[in-house]
Amino acid sequence: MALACRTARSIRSLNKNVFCISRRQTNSSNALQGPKIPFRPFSDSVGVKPAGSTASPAGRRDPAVFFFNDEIQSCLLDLNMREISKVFEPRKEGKAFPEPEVKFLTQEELDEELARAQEDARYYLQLPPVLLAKEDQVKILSKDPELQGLEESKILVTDISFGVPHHERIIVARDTDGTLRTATIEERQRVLQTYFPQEGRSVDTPQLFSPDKLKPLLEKMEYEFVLDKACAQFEPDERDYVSVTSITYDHIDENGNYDVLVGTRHYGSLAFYLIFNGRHDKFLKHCISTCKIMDAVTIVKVFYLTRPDITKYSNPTAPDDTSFLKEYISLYAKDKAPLSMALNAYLELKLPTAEEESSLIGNK
Amino acid sequence: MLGQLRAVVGRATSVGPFGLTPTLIKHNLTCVQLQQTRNAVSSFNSQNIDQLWKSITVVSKQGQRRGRGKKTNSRLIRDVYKDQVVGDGKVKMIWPGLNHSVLRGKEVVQQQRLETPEKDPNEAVKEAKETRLLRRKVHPLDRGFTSATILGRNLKNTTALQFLEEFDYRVIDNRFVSHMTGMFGRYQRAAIVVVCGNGNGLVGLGYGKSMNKMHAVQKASNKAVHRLLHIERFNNHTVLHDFFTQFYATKIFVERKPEGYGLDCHRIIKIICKMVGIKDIKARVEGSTMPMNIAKAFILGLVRQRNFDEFAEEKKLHVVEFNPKQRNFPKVLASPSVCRTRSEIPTSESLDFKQLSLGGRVKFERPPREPFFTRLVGWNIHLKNVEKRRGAKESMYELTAKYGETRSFLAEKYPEARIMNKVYPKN
Repeated sequence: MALACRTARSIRSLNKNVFCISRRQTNSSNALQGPKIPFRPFSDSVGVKPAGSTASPAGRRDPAVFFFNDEIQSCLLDLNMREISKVFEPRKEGKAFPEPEVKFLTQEELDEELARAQEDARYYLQLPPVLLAKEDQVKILSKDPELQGLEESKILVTDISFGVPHHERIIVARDTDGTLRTATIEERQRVLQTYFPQEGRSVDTPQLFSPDKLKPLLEKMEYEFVLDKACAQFEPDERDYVSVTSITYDHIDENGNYDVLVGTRHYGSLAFYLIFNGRHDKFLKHCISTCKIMDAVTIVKVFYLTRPDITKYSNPTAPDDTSFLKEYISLYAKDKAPLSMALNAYLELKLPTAEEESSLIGNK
Repeated sequence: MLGQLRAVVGRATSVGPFGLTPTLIKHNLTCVQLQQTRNAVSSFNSQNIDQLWKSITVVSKQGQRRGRGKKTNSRLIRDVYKDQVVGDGKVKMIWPGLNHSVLRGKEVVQQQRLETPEKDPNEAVKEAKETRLLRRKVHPLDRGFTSATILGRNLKNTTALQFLEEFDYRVIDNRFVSHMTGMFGRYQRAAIVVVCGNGNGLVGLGYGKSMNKMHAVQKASNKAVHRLLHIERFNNHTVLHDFFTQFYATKIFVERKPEGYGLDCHRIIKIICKMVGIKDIKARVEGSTMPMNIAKAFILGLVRQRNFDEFAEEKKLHVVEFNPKQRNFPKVLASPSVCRTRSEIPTSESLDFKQLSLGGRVKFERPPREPFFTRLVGWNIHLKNVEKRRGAKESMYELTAKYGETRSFLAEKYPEARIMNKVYPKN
């Protein structure tokens, strides 16, 4: 009883502080933003720093700064949206659906429905963020050695009131040695999943993310399955999410299976991951050699945007601007020879467009 | 025949004592064939064996119908010449003029003993065993509705009749029909309805009558192949749209179903679907279930189906399919040449595709009835008992995935907190 009372009192005092902090944060963000930008999950919760300080405490560059940049976001979304038919293919969801319905529509209604489908595609092709793993920031609230040995296990306490965002929710732990502290990320996820269960997520990490189970899945090219499951199971700034996705992206890059992710929400994130880590030349070559020249241009554009120190470059004049690619290859590419060869091959074997083909047939 | 041969040989052998030399016989033997005469004329000589037997076992037509002469007389008729073939016995002989022609080319055949290999006496028994009639096994898909009739049977694989290779034939109706005639009295025939099809859009219906059932089947099959119809299908697996069809008192509601649904309909409709190549359908037959009329009603409905283009032209609107399995993407099935706008459509006009395709008919969907045991006293007791075990199976799977066995999270500390002998939940 004494323990419960003490913990409750500590939380109350903590709650006040948090309230103050959160209010201050909202004020400052409003002042900074000015015009309202569309909601992007995690863009505010991961604490995006101003672009000047791109280095995280560990000395690595923080991808969040670039990933949530509006221009890069629109580029990556373009990559995803280039092939939306895969979104509307039947999937194995393990449940019965109602039967298809046939309707009579006017031209306006049909246009509306097609626009709705486009919106749906945009919804299903949202980019899963590429972030650094958030580190545990445990704050010791009080040390009460007199409570030592009272309980055999630690106690997690949370506030389950309605309407509080999960990243602001107060969760504290009382250790067996009497220390009262804020909960670690792992403990937070456990408590949140217990009180606010999310579909497709389990309290314990599923075994498919263990290395010995993950490897055969990747060998079978079940990339989309793994990435979808990771999105459902973890928060994007969790350590497990970052490791699982990077392993998957690396595997795709190693084996050149980029086409498996075309038309899925992970395609843009894969591109960003590779570009941000400076390993995009193989991907670029793949895009050029498979005649996805618009994708290649977007990749190069994102490359320039993620390197603020490179200022000397011209913007692409068209979505399939090959001179833009040529400039990149000659100036910044790591492996110049294979890329330029691929581009030359593309230019030589450039397939005639549908119009050209029809005109040829007409001449005959 | 045998009697005639004897007569001839008797004549030939009797030539010798009359003083003709063997040389003469040698040269004039051709005349032997010409001298086929009978010495005595009696009822035994002038009638053949069948007629003779019949004369003593005859039963009138009336009597036959009443079952007379069925048992006793059949025992009476006996094959007298059984195992009495000339020259064929333990020792095989050639008897010229008896079991061999007298001349071979220009040479006279001599009486001769043939060499016969010695047979193992057990071999005959073995042979008999091997050649014993085995029951032919019919594939389960070819068996048809029941073993008693040929209804639904795959005629090609189970009968020896003649069919076209490209088509599959099934009998859907098998009756005996009769009428009275002055000559024969009750004149009874088998009446057969056959459906044939190639499983790829072609189907035919034939009707044949004959005294012999299998002959009627053959006639009906031949007619069915002559009356082929082409049926349009949606993606080669189902009908184009829901429809209602009627032939006399037989009414059928047919529904289009998604891939993998199967054939949920009357067995005759199921057979026709297989012949056409329709794989997914739900149909309900109301009114008369006469096989011929079901077949006619269904095929009529199939033929009268309309294209989506026709619907689009009729309504002057786009025909669009929304499939929840594909996240309701608007898939345009057909577009009209000129599309109406919203203001041009009168408010009284119905835009319900189902209503239009069913021709204004509404199918009565009987609400599913709860099983009888839910009204019994013990049902609530059972529910209470089961309530304790809810979710047990799922948690058992989870635990097995986590620990490799069913055990409590306390098992690390207290080893007894695990299920040693596996007891699976009942539900």
